[in-house]
Amino acid sequence: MENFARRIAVRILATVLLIFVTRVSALSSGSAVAFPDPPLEVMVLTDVAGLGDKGFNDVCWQGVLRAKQDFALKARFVQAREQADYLPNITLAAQNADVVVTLGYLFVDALKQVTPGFPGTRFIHIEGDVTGENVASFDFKSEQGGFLAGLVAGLFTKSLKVGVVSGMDIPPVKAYVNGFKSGVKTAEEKRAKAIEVIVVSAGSFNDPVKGKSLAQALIAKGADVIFRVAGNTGIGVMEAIADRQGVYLIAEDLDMDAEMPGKILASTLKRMDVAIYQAIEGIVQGRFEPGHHWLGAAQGAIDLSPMKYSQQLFTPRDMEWIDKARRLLKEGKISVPKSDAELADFQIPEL
Amino acid sequence: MSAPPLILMQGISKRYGELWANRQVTLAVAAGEIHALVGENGAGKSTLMKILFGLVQPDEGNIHLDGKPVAFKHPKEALRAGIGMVQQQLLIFPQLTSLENIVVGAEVRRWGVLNRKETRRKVEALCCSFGFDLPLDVHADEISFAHRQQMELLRLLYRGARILLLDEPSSLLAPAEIERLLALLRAFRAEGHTIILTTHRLREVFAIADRITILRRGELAGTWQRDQTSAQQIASLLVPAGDDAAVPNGDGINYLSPGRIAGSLSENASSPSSRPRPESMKDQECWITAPAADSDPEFVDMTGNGGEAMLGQPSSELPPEAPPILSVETVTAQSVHQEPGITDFCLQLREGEIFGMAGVVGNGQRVLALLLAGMHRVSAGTIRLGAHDITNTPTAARLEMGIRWLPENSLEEGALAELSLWENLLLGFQRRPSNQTLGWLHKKRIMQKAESRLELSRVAYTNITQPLSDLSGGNQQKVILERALTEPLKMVLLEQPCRGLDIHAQRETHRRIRSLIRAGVTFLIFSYDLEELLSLSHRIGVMYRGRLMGVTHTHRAERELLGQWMLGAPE
Amino acid sequence: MSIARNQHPIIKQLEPLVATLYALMAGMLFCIILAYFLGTGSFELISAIWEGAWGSPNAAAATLSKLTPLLLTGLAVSVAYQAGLLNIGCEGQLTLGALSAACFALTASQLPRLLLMPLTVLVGALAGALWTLPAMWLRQKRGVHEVVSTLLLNYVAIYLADYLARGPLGDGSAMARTAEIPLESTWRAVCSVGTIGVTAAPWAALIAMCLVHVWLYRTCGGYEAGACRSNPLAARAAGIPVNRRQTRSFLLSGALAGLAGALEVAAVHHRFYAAFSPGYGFDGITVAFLVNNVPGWTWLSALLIASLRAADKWLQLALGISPSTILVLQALLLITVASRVRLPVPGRTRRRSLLGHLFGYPEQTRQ
Repeated sequence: MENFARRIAVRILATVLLIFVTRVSALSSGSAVAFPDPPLEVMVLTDVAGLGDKGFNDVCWQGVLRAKQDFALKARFVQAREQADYLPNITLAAQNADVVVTLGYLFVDALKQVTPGFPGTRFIHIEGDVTGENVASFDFKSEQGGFLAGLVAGLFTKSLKVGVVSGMDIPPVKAYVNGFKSGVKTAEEKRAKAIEVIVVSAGSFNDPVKGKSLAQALIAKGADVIFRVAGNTGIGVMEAIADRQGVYLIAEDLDMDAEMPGKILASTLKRMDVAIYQAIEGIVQGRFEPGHHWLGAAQGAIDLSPMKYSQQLFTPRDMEWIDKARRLLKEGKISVPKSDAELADFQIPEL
Repeated sequence: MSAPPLILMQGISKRYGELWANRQVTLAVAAGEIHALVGENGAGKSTLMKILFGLVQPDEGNIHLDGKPVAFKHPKEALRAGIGMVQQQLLIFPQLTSLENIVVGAEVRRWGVLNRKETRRKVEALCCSFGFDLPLDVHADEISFAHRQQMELLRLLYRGARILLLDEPSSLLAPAEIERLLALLRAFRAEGHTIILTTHRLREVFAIADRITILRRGELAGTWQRDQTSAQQIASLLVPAGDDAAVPNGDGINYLSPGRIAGSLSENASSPSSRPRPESMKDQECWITAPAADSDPEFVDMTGNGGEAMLGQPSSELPPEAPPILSVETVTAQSVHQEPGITDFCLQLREGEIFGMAGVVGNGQRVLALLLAGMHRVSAGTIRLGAHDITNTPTAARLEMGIRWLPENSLEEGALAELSLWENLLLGFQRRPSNQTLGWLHKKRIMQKAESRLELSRVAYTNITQPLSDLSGGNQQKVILERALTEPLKMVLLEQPCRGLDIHAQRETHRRIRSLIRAGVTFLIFSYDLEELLSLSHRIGVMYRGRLMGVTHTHRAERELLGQWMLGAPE
Repeated sequence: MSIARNQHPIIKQLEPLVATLYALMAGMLFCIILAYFLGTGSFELISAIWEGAWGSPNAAAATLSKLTPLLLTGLAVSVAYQAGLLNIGCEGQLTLGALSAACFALTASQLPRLLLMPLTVLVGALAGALWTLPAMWLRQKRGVHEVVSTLLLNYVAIYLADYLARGPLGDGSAMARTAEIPLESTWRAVCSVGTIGVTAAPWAALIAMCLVHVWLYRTCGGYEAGACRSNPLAARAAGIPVNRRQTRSFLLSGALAGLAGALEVAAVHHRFYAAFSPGYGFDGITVAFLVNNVPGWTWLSALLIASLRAADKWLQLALGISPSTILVLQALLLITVASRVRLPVPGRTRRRSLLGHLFGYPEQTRQ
């Protein structure tokens, strides 16, 4: 009997609660979901990593925020939860915004399906080749960043051993690594000493624990500069380096120098924000350029951080060489190898 | 006795439903003696011990220890007072060594840290003084049963118990192990410990006990000094002889008719994991419960007649022309799950016969039942049902041939508790053409049929789709029974049909069995209760270690002979 | 007391519905609490969930496409449960089902569409079914509880698929994925809802659900499976080959999970991505237990979970709530379900919660 009574009581309670909730919220609710009407609506779609990854997505978002300020835009973002979300998310964004920015390789398939259906919407895509009347897609010459990182590492190393922790063995990372190797080669020639490059792969962009153990292994092998090209896996690399004397890091994509002042020799910069900013600027000013674009140092999309905390570790002559390499890259006078074949034919530039 | 007894239990009564486990039992045990509690299965020995140990609370009566009244609510309190009990089901931690098993919970600590050295020293000293031969550093799951038992004894001694209660300590031991146990018990006695043990082996009783108390159907039959009695006398006291007298009328008269050896002396050798003993049972645990406490008092008679046959009258002899129905020809089968197998087993049953299979539990009866039900493989030999060779016939086909098996715990082993009533009735017959076409169940027809059957057997239910577990225990039993009696019905294998039943339910059960044999159904009844078999069956066989020791017609049966068969050999 | 005991059978049948409604109400309650902390109105939050899942044709289409794998994996779990087994390995079966379907479509691309399309999903289902066999063998021959074996086999399957998609079966791109499967093997949109085409996959899943329900409650095979769950001893004594029946149910369960994966490939992604599933296999457990493992009601719980999942992008857009908050909401809801749904343990009066059932020690079957 008790049991029965309790059940009834629970049911009544639940019903009352429900009624109460609907009544109260009906009173409190002014308008339901609705969008205001800004001049230009930008919607950013991220992959499952989302904002706050201190990397790819965050850099891109900075470009959007800058454009938002400069051109008085309305900008929002949506994070996907799974592969199957990309298509509906792009569709939703295309319906509700003037400009859709998609970040990452994974959007390519879905984007190709959606863009023809929304000729009035402009799409900006980072990483991957998507073509169409209303799509501008951007890729970056990562190898140029790798080259600068390799040069810095090669000029710095005392043990004549440098390491690379790569996330996965995929083309963009490969480009980084080959660029890095060519940079080290350049430094070898400058110092007239042989430098060993040890490359290890974590097999994942999201495995900090693995990253840490790999970095520790590299340190044990004698590497004193480690270049991370590993996304979130790189967080582990940073942890491994933080408590080791005489071991330094070179970070990728984003200026992280300030995160561990003095421990990070330099960060290669991939200015996705610049690409996005410029693309949005183009749209605002009515000169949208559809198509697939390769951006490099020449466009200001690849660069090296100012090395604010690490300059004193280098000789002025080293710094001169690094600056010269940056300048030559900007002027397009160095061709950095991307693939293994190109690496074999690499012509060491005159610095 | 001049000195006051160490333990005095007075007027102890304990009732489980209709069943009196103990009724006004008085027990006095002197310090330093070995006191044997003797009685047939269900006589209330274990209950009495459990009451003393605080595992069971008596309904009435009081206990005095050293002249002071005590009432243990929990074994912990009994242990504190120096009373320890070794139950039939030993308590072991298989992953710990015997030493750890002995000391667990009462380790010697120094500043909160286990002092292994000191602990070991204490245990070894105990081992030495009593002559235990227990290996201390072997995992408990690797040592023999006898050693586990020693482990339990040591555990109690280690905790300072000076009164040891042993429930059937020898039932699972080999003869040599029994000798060792008896030696240990004598060593305890020499050290001044007091021991109460239950056993069904009179030989041991006379080898070791100082005094003997006999319980019979929960009541005290008396206490004797060992040297003032004889095995013969004890045996005759154990079981009330004469079937008519076996109907207790509640006033606790004594039935003394010496001269008969009680078969149930050798009642039990069940494994530690075996069935609960009657003392701890609820009455619904038996199948064919006719008037269980909460069910319909009027039991339905299948054939409509019968009922005149009184309990206690052996069934009339079979007509000689009754054709043989089941023949088991030199069948051998492996053991399963601690149940010993059977060897070169021969048995022939005739149509309409009730065959009682007696024997100490755990001598291959279960394997025989499983074999006949088709749930176990025959290694050698042939089984025939009528003209058919059913040696390798699967269970389902045997069901269709009319062989039914009603296990001891029919609810546990036969009920689909949370499935509906009609589904329970259907089990085993779902593939019949009348119930399905190409796998599609004729649900409506099945449910209608089920309804009418349940109406007939007067099962109290509200809806045919309600789960079986909604019904009372007695009604659940009826449903399971109703299923077992689905046509065609030729042979029923029955395990312990009346275990734990009160007398009325027993009578109903027997009446029903008799009415069914008139319809040509053959019964093979496994029971440890010799009296029941004597009163019910046409013939009785005795199983011992997987063999059929002998078969006799009930009206020619000599209890002495049966008792000897049960013990394995004609002496 | 007697009222509670002798409920009308209809009420018993509706119990899964009631359980889902409770979960729904609990979810709303959590929404309100969450909304309070987030500073939005509770009504906005709830209506945004509705809006995101069903507010527009596109949203409805997205919800429907999420429904398919959830429904099928939920069905897989309940089929196994109805035979007395717990299949925690749906995720692995689904992954391998998807991979095999993609590989089959790629290798058999010259087959005519009429053959290729159904065969693709069937191969996926077959792969899922086969992946249950190790667990079944371990259970029946080695006494390993299927919860343990299926759970661990998930990882084997997921990493195996990851390796294969990255290496031997990959499309050579940067990602762990196979090449795009031929158009003839894909499920095309049968109707357009908004701008997103809806394939027949959700309907196929619904049909599968009906078939499973009918099989379970109207046929001999289903009845025997139920007997095996309720009391294996009794089933054996009644001549039912318990091991074989359970294996059959487990194969069916694996096939349903594999089908879920294959349909994702054939109808949604048109190729195999190593990480395409956000844990549908595990969601299947929730889906199944939310409706007491009654296959016929899985559509309801699958719909609920799919709606919540599909709504999260709208919550981000409309209310600017971060996706993590939505995860919190979902997790809270699942815990409510887990503690509310109680399972009758066969033959006992004792009852265990879902969590207890999943992590409790397996029951010993005697004899």
